[in-house]
Amino acid sequence: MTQLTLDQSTRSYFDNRYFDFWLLVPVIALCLIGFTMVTSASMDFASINNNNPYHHMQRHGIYLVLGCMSFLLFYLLPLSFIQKFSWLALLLSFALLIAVLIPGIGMKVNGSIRWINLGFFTLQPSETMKVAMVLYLSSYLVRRQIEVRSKWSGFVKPMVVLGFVVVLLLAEPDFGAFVVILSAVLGMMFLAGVRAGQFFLVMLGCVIAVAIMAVSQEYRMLRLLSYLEPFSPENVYGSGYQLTQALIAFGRGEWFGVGLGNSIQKLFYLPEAHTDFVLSIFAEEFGLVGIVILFGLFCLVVGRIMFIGKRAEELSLYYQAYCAYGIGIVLAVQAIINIGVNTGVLPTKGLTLPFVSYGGTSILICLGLIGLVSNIYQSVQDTQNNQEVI
Amino acid sequence: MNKIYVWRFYFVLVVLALLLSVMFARALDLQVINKEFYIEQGLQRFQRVEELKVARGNIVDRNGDPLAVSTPVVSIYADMRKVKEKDYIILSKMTKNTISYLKEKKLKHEIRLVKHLSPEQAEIILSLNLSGVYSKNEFKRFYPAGEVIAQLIGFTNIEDHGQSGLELEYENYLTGIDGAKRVLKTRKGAAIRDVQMIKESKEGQDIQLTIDLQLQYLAYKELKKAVTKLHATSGSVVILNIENNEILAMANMPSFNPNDGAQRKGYALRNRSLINQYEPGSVMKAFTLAAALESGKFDDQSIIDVKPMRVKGRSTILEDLRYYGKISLSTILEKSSNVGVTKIALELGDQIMWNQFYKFGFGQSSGLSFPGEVTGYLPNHEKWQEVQLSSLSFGYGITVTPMQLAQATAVIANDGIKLPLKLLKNSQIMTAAPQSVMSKYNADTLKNMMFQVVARGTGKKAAVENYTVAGKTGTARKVSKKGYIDDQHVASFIGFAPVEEPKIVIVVVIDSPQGKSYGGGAVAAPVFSNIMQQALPLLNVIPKEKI
Repeated sequence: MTQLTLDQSTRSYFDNRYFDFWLLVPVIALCLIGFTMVTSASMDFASINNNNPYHHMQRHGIYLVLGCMSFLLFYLLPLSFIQKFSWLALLLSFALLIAVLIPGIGMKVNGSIRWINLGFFTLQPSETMKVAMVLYLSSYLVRRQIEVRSKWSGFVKPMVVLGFVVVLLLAEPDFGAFVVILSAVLGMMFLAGVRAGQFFLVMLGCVIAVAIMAVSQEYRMLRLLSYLEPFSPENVYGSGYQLTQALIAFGRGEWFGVGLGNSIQKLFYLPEAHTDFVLSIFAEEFGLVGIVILFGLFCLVVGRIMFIGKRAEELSLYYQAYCAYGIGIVLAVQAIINIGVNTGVLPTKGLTLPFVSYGGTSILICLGLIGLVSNIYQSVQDTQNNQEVI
Repeated sequence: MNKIYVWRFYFVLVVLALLLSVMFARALDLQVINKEFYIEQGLQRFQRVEELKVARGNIVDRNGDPLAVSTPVVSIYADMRKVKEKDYIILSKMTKNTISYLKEKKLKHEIRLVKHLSPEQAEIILSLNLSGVYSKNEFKRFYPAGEVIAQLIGFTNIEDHGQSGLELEYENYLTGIDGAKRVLKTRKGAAIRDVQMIKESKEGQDIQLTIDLQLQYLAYKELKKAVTKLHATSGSVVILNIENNEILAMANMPSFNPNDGAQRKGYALRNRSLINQYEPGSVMKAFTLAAALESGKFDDQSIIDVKPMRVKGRSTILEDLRYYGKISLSTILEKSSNVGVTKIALELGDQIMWNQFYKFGFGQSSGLSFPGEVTGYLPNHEKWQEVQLSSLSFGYGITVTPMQLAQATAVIANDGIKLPLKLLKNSQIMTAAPQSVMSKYNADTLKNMMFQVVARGTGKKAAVENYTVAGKTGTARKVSKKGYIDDQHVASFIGFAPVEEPKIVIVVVIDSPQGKSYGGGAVAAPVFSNIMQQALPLLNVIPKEKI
């Protein structure tokens, strides 16, 4: 009896629609907030550096249009096709990750080689790897479901692939992407049914490894943790500079913010104000109220994706389910890391805020992922309708 | 087989939610709980107190020509903590500081790299956009007339405060009040908006002098020529406008260029027209005769025998260059007879002599309050003995400034009326009321006598073509510790023109001219003539047709 009601109530979330309103509206809202904030944060910067205050606004607009096309592409591609050729995506991403490390191909910015300049567009291979990893791992988990749920080998195999990815990412280095991909892989395997004992044993091992590293390389650890004291005299004009400016932006925002366009921190005080630190400018201009709304939108997006995944799993659409879980975790972890960096909870790592930050690859990938989730939603709807007919 | 791990699903969601909660807690901490700290840190970074520098007032001549002006300049400063090491080389080259100096100052938050550049020069450095390097607008004092009027105007120090001359005297009037305001700035230093006015600024006020730069230049040029040619130690020229006692020129030698800090020292700084006192010698005879006429005991018909005579208290017999016989007052002045004026003085007595000299302004302040100004020395008459009275009558035992001589001469030219001296063109303050020193009749009589001095007597070289001139020469021996020296003199000439309607008074004093000619008639009178010759046409005084 109880079971039935639950089923019905779950079902009522998903009526016969092609697009999920509760997913797309928050995504569109985040994109619009992003467009506004990129414009606000970059105008003064661009008028000095690019002689055109609308330089970044125009480009971000173009990225959003391209992002819609990316959305449609992933929405329309048959899921069976994606599942079948996910290994190809993984290989291609590996090729790009290796290519970026070849001198002359990779672009070095701020000490990291993360970009390939395609002339009209700079591609960030770590971003494509996120997608490829999710697509490939999902198909693996479906293929080897029994092995994964019962044997060590099922657990270890993907770890080997992950190991290669990690090595390549740390060579760039790109710790942010590393953490995002690691979280997605572990999360997906956990949800796919890896034995809990095994899983937590591995997690414990990771924790111990980190602890040993911390103890053995105290100097490096201290430097890494210097972000916790950005206002200390030795950091304030050095490694902590950017963070102090971000924190000041948050503080200045107070409850309701200083108002759109009134940020002072964007006036050359806060570097990267329109990319990785756009959240700080948003916090300054819209205050804690704005932050709460933004967090709410992210909760809606991620929660919605996860529940679509759960619904797919209930309908035995495992590939769809794991993909959705992976995408949800990727977006959630990336957002949390970016927020953590902006607020000084985590050390500064180059990671964008999904849908909001300036950056071509990020927008294309994020909207592409939403396209894929919509595709999954579609297939969930179809399967559900068929079952009802039967 | 198709088991769904519902608890795992919610476990993941809870983990994500917990992470987000941590972020929210942090945002709450930053934006609400501890916001004051971050707001304060922000203010420290972008709120600046900006000084509103105001210019010091200008000093201009009667026609508005600049004598002292403040020009805007830019000084380059640096917050060395923010200057990048790689910029040291270019910074050192552009600002002419050594690299080691820059390294030494590495931790200073504000050092001045270059002082007082023109805005164009400063822009070259600022356009490099070096981090930590910024500029401040300041003002620099400039004296367009340079050495021509250096001692009167004076100069300011590096902080723009008056150090001497009028710059010192009118410091409070010329100095503006710098204001200050709180502003928000971008990291590049551009002001975003004003927050609060901390102190209102007030512009420094201008001063317009009665000086006529053209006449000043003329006086200085002629004085410099004479002092240089005669190898004299110093000299002064004062020109007064008789009608209102406005000071038209006040030139002094030696002089200096006030725009060059290295020259601002020594005797050249002395405004000798006002702060040098000396024994005037024979020019005083004009004022002794004024006393004679005013006493009523003498008039233009009086005849005096100027036979050499003994004066009580004097070791030698008092005599003139030669014995002129029985002569009139006019001839006494013309020949500059010491015996003649001594006889008059002894006849008048100390009371009358002192009173008359005092009324002319000797021994008194000029009323200009110029820094370092002296009053000269007019001895108390109760102690005068015969020898002192005699010396006084021909200008010894008394000290005067060139300005006092000019003012006293102007009294004779101005029908016996003494007007207060005027140096500020628009000043409404009368330092003293006009005073009658002698009657118009007696003044006219004296004028004619002085006219004869130039026409026939010792002052022939003061004559000016096409104009009538009245005057008196003076040659005083200088005093050393051992007494009067025979070969060091102060040569002077006082006079005015034209005699019928006097326009200006010129006083020329030349200290220690070297060579055979050293007397006032030989040395000072030609300077007077040269200046008067050029000054009268400049003042639109119509020349008399030649007869």
